[in-house]
Amino acid sequence: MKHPTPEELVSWFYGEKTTRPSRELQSHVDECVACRAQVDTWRATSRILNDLPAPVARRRWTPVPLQWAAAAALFVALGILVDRFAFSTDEAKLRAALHVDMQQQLAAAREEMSQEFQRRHDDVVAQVAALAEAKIALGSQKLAEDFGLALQQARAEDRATCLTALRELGAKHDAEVATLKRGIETVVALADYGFEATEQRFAQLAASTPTPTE
Amino acid sequence: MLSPLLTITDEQAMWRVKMDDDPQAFARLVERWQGPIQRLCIKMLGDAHRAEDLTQEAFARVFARRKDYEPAGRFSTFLWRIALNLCYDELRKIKRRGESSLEGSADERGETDFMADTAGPDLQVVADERAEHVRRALLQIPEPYRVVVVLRHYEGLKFREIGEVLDIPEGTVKSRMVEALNQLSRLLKPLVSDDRPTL
Repeated sequence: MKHPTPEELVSWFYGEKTTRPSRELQSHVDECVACRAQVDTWRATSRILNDLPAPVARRRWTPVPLQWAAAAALFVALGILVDRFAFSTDEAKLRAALHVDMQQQLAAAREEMSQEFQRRHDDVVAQVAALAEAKIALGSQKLAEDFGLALQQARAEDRATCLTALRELGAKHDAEVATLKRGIETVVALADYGFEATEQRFAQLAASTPTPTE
Repeated sequence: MLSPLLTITDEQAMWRVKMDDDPQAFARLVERWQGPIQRLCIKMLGDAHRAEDLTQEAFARVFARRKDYEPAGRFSTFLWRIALNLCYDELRKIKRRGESSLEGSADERGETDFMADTAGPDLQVVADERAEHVRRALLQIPEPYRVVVVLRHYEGLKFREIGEVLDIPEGTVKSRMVEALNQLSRLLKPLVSDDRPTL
């Protein structure tokens, strides 16, 4: 069997899909000294990489009293134990007792820190949620303000348009009234002139008519 | 209050955040992803304090960019990308300032390893030293290799998914993983001999 490429080998190493069947690659690695050496090296490295624990961050602003309290408690406990066993010749007993006590103190401190971490974690989640809510509220308020402003602006524009239209309508009306008035005055003048002319004709007619003889 | 959201997928939760600015759905996403993102940042930067700040920054950025989220894509890819970009920015800043993430012990950087503390004090010291060695080795390999190791080895993403996050072909991801493992093998060689099982 041909050597697998390093890419194929690493894919197989991490249990992912490979172009060749996994069993085939496994038997090649078992038989091929070079490939086995490569995989063994990766396996050892991988095991060591797993030694890196997931560290928990301790914030710079974390109140110190918790740690100091743990340290002080440990110090006092050590003092009591040393005092108690000061004259004892059984050094192993003293060491064992100290070890147990230290373990207990450390366990208690660990527990406290773990609770503290959980509490802070919950706080952060709550803060983020509150922040998001506040942002939303702020966004809604801004939206409402913008809407009100736009509405006012639209109303003002409508009013201005109406006023202009009304003014134009009034001016047109006035012009029509003036034209009508002039027309009526012309008709009246013509009528007066007609009446006078008729009157004169009647008068002429009356004057020229011969009087009947008796 | 979050119980109705327990069963929804990340994508559904993010959709609610995008469309309705749903704070509960967002809180749910934070709860689910805070751990993985913090682990990624710690391993990329080697500094637990910075990692914690960046984790918070990553979620703030997710909320700020919620309208950019495409429901066709996975939420995790969207989030990993944001977190990784923040890590890259931070690493650039560190480089500009001439600082080194390798400086200081884990304790000075404010890290503690209570989670790994199950043995006695002596064994704990040994475990701490090994962890410090691994941390330094990770920080010594170039970023493109480091990110692949973190996502594949520690976070369990498939090579295909890593390709999507980094926007590179799957074959390139595998090549980088091979190179990363080889470099780490060289750097961690002193520990390999200690690690051999005793008969």
